[in-house]
Amino acid sequence: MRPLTEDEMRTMFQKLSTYIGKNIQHLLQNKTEAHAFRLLKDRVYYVSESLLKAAPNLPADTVLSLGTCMGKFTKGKKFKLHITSLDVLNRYALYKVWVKPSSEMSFLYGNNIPKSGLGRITDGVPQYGGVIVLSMSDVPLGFGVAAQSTEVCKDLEPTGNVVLHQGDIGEYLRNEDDVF
Amino acid sequence: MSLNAMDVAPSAFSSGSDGLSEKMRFDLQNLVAYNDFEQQHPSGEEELEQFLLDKASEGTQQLLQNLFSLPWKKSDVGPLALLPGYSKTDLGIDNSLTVLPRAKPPPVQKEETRWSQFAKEKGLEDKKRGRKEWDEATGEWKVRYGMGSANKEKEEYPIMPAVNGDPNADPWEHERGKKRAKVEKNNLNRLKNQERTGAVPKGTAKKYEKKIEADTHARDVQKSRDQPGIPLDLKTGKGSIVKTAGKRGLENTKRALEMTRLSTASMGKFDQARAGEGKKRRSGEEIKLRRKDMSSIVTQTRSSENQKSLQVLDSVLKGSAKKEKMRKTGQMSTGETGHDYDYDDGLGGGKYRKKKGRAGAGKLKSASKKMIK
Amino acid sequence: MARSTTKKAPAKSAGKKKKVVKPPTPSPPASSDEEQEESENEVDDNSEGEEFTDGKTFTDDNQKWLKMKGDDSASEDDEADSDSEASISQIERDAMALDAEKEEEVKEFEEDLQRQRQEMTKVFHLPTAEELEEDEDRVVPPSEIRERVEEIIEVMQDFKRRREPSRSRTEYMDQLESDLSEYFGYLPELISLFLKMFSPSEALEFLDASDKPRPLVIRTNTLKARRKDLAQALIKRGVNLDPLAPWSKVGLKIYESTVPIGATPEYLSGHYMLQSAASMCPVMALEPQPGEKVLDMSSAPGGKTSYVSQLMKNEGIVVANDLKVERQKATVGNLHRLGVKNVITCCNDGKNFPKVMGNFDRVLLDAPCSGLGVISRDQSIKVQRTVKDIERTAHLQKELLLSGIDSLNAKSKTGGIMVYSTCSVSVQENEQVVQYILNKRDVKLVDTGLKHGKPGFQRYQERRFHPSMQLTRRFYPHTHNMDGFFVAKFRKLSNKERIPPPEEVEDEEVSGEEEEDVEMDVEEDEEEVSEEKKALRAKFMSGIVKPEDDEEIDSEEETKKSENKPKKERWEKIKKGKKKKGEKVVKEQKSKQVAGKKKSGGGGGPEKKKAKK
Repeated sequence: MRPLTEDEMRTMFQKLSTYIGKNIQHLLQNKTEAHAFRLLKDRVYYVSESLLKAAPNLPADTVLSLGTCMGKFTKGKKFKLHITSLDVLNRYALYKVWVKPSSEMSFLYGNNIPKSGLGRITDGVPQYGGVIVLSMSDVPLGFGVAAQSTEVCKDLEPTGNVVLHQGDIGEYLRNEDDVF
Repeated sequence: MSLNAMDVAPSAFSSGSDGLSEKMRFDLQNLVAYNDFEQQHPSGEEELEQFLLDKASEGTQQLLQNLFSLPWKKSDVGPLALLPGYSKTDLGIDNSLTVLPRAKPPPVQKEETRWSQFAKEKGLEDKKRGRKEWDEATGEWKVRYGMGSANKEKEEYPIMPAVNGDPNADPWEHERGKKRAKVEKNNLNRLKNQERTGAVPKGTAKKYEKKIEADTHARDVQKSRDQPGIPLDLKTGKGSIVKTAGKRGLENTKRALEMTRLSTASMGKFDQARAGEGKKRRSGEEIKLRRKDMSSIVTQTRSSENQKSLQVLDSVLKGSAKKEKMRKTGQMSTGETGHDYDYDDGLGGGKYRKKKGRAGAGKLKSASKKMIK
Repeated sequence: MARSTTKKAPAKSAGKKKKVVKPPTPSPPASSDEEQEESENEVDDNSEGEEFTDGKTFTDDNQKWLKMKGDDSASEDDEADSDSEASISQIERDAMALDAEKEEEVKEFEEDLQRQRQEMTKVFHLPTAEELEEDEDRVVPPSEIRERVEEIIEVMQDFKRRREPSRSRTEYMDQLESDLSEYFGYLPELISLFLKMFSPSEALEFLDASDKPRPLVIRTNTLKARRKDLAQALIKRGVNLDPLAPWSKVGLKIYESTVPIGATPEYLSGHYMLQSAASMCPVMALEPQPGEKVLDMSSAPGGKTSYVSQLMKNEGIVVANDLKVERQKATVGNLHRLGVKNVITCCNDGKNFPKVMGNFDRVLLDAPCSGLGVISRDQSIKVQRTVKDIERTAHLQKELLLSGIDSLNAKSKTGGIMVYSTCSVSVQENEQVVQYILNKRDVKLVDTGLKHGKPGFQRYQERRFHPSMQLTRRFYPHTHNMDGFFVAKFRKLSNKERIPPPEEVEDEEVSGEEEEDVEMDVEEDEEEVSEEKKALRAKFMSGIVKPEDDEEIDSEEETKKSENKPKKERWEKIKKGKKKKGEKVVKEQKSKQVAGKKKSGGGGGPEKKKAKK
C-alpha cells in the first residue's frame, strides 16, 4: 500500500475532473476528516486518516480493501473509474442526468441512455463531459459520458444516445468479481 | 597512334589563331595552364568580363589540346589520358609546377625524452625482439608473451622465497609491493617527461609523487594496525579511540559489548538474553529512522502529501485536454530524451500493425462504444 | 305465504351449507338491532328454501327442521315467520334459538370430553423389538410414524398412568429417537442431542420448525435510507411487507413479492441488505458507538459488518476479517454497495488476532459453527453433522474466542465488550464455550439487551454453568420464528488470565482436547480436592447438609454479590447447589419433561445413597 506517484495522481485527477471538476479540492481537503488516496495492487482507495493509522498494522498482503475504492489503473496505465466511487462522485458532481423509469432498467443492464429515456439534464454539459445518472427520485444509478452537449441533446432524435454508459449499480450483480 | 583534338571535335578547335596566341605553360598533373604574359585589360566592367572570358576560353582550349598529346589508354568509358605523376613509378616525384599549400598543420617538434637523449649519446639503438624466446627450463623456443610463454619463474608457487628479514611477512604481499613500486616509478618518470614537454600541466608529477607517498604511508599504518592479537580498539596511535594502550575505559567497553552482541551470524537476533541483560535498546538514531520509516507510509497526509496533491490538481485543472494530448504524442517535447523523437513527419510511417483488421490492434479487441478517450 | 327475510341466527359451522339464491327483499329495519348483532352469515342464509325456518343449517344434530305433518309447533313456526301478527315476537324467537344453540354446544363439548377421556385412558402399545423386526420389510408410511411419535410424546407426558406396565422409559425414548430420525431424516445422534436439550414435545416442535423456511427479512441501511421511505418504495414495486418486530427499528419482514428482492434498484443502490432476523441480534447486543475501534472476526459476507458501521454512522474504524478470500470479496462488494466508508477488509486467520492488531474497543465473533439452528436453510446438515463435528467446531470456537478476548482493550473508555454468537442450538458450542472462557480469562457476562430471547442454560445434564449464564440468550425457530441462535456478551475486566479453581474443573466432564491446559493447573490440587469432597460427602450422608432443591440460583443477585466476595467463597456457594460427582445419570432420568419430578438432591437423595453403597 502506498501513496500515488505524481503521474498516477495526474492521470486520476484528469479522469475525475471530467466528473467533478474543481471539487476534487474538496476531496483532498475534506472538512470533517482528512482523507488521502492510497494505491493497493493497482486499485486506488479513498481513505480517511483514522483508517490510515490502523492500516499499516495489518500484514500488507492480507488487506483486501480500505475505505472506498475509486477505481483502478489498467495495464496500460489508464485510470478506470469503478461504480464503487458513485457516492463520492455524486456528492460533488457537476453535471447530472435524470432518467425516466422506462429507461432505468435498460441502463442498469449496461446500455446507453437514448433520448427517449432522458428526463432532465443539467445545463452546460460539454460533449464527452462526465455525467452522473440519477433516477427521477434522485437515487444515483451510475455514471457515464455525455454523448452530446446539452443544446445538441435537445434537438436529438429519440433513438440517439444522450449518455454513453460507463458504470451502473447493476454491476454489483452482473460483475461481482470486478468490484474486488 | 596519337589523337588529334582536331580530329575529335574540329569545330571547337581552330588552329587559325596559332601565331597570335600566347604560349602558356602547362602543369598537366594538376590540369593547370599558366598564362604568364602581361595583359592589357579594358577598363569597363562588361568589357573586362568579356576580355577575361576570352582569355580563359583560349587557355582552356590550349590546355585541352595539350591533353590530347598525352599517352592514353582504352577503357569502357572511352579513351583515358594518363596524366603525368600518377603512375606507380611516378609516385613520390613531384614534377608539377604548382605548389599546393599544406593541408594540415605541421607536426610539433617532440622533445626528446631523457632516455632517447641518453641513447643518442651512447649510440644505443632499438633492439627489435623476436617473437620467440629461449626458455632455459624446458629447453625450447617459446613465445615471449601470452600462453605457454617462456621464463615464468615468478609463477612458481606455492613455494615462495622468504622475505628478507621479517619471518612473519607475507611473501605475496611483498611481491605485489615490489611490482607496485616499479609501476609507480615508471609512472612518475613518464609524468616528468610529459611535464617537460608540456603535454601535461606543470606540477602533476609532484602531485603524483605526493600521492604515492601518502598511499605508502597509509598502507604502513594499516599494516601496523593489523597486527594480530591486539584488539583494534586497544591500539593507540593516529586515529585510535583509545588513549592508553591496553585500557578501554567504561564508554569504550560498552561500545565493545554492543559490537560483540551483533557479531554473530544473524546479527544477534536469535541469541538468548542472559539473566540481567535485558532487551536490546534501539539507539536514538535507530528510533529516528524507524519513525521516519513509519511516518513515510502514514502521516504525510496533512502536510507534504496534501500539498503535492493540490499542486498536481492545479496543474491538471489549468491544462486542458488538448494540451495533454499534445504532450502525450510528443508535440511539446524539447528534444532531451529519446521519447521526444517521435516526430511525425507526415509520411505516416509509425502506425505499422503486424496483423490486419481488429486483431492488429492487440488488446483492443472489443472496441465498443465504451471506449471513449 | 309471504316469507319474511328474518335475519337468521349464526349458523353452526359444522353444518352443511346450501346453495345461495338471493331474493331482492330487504330486511325489516325495526327488528334489526339485535338480529344484526347475532347474524353472521346473513348473505348465505338469507334465502334458503321455504323449509328453512329459524336460520339453522341442516345437520343431523339439529333435527328440528324435520317437521311432521300437522305438527303444531311447526305450523306455529310457520305462522311465526310472517312479519306481522306473530304470537311470539321476533326477539323471543331468537332468544330461544340462542338457547337451543347453547345446549347443542354443551352437548358437543361433553361428547368431545368423553372422547378425549377415552383416548387418554387408552393405552398406547409400543411396538416391541419382535414386532419391529416383522415390520422391517414393510415400508412404513410417514403418517404412521408421525402418529406413533405423537403418541409416544403423549405417553411421556403422563408416564405413570399412560405407560404399558412392562415397558421401560428407555424403550419409549429409543423408539422415539429412531422414529424421529426416520421421519425427519436426521442422523440418530443429532436426534438424541436434541432430546437431551428439549422435552420430547418441544423437540418435535423444533424439528418441525427446522423443516420449514423462515420468513425473508431485510435490514434498512440507515446510512442511505429510512425504513418508512424504503417500505413505501418497495410497496410501490409490489412487495408485501411488515415491520419485523418491536425490538428492531430497521428490520422488515417480506411476505411475498412480485419482484426479486435481491435485484431491485433500491437493493442495488444500497438502501437495504438481505439479512436474517437472527443475524441482527448480535450486532444489537454489541452496540458499537461512533468513533470506536471495532473488530469483526468472521465477517463474510458482510451483513453484520455493515450493520456495525451503520450504528457507528460511518465514523471510527471497523476491521472486517475472514479466513476465506472468496467470501471476503463478497464482503467488499456489499460494503461498497451499502456506502460504508470506515472499514478495512482483510483476510487473516482469526487466531492471529492480537498479534496482528489489538486494543479494540469492541469485538464481534459470529463463530463458524455446526449450523444446527439453520437447518431450515440447508437440509443437508441433518445428515452431514455428527457429534464429532460439533466437538471440532467447539474447539475452534474456543480458540477464536480467546483470541478475540485478548484483542480487546480492557482499559477502553467506552468498551471492552465482546459479543459471541453462533447459529447453533447445541450446548457444546454455546454455554460450554462461554464457561470455558469465564474460566480462562478475566471477563464477565453482561446483559445482552435482547429481551426477546430465552436465557441460556444454567445446567445441562451433569454440567453446571456459572449463574450469569442466564444473561446469554437463546433463540429457537419454533418459539421465535427466527433461526436457532445463541448470543453472549462479555466485558473484559483486565488482561490477566485466570487459573480456574480445582473444584470447578473436577465437576465438569474433562474431555481430551478442551480441558488440557486446565488440567495441568489442577494436578497439584487434586489431593486437596478429594479430601474436601470426602468431607462434604460425609456431611451429606449424616444428614447435616440438607440437599437443597436444584433450582436455578437467582443469578442476578448472585452475580452482584459474588463479584464482591473472594473467589473461593463463591465457588463454595455454587458447589452447594450442585450435584455430587459420581452420581451417574441414569437413563430413565434423562427426560426432563417428567413433570413434577425434581432432579435434585432431594428426590435423588435416597437413590444416591443406594448407588454409592
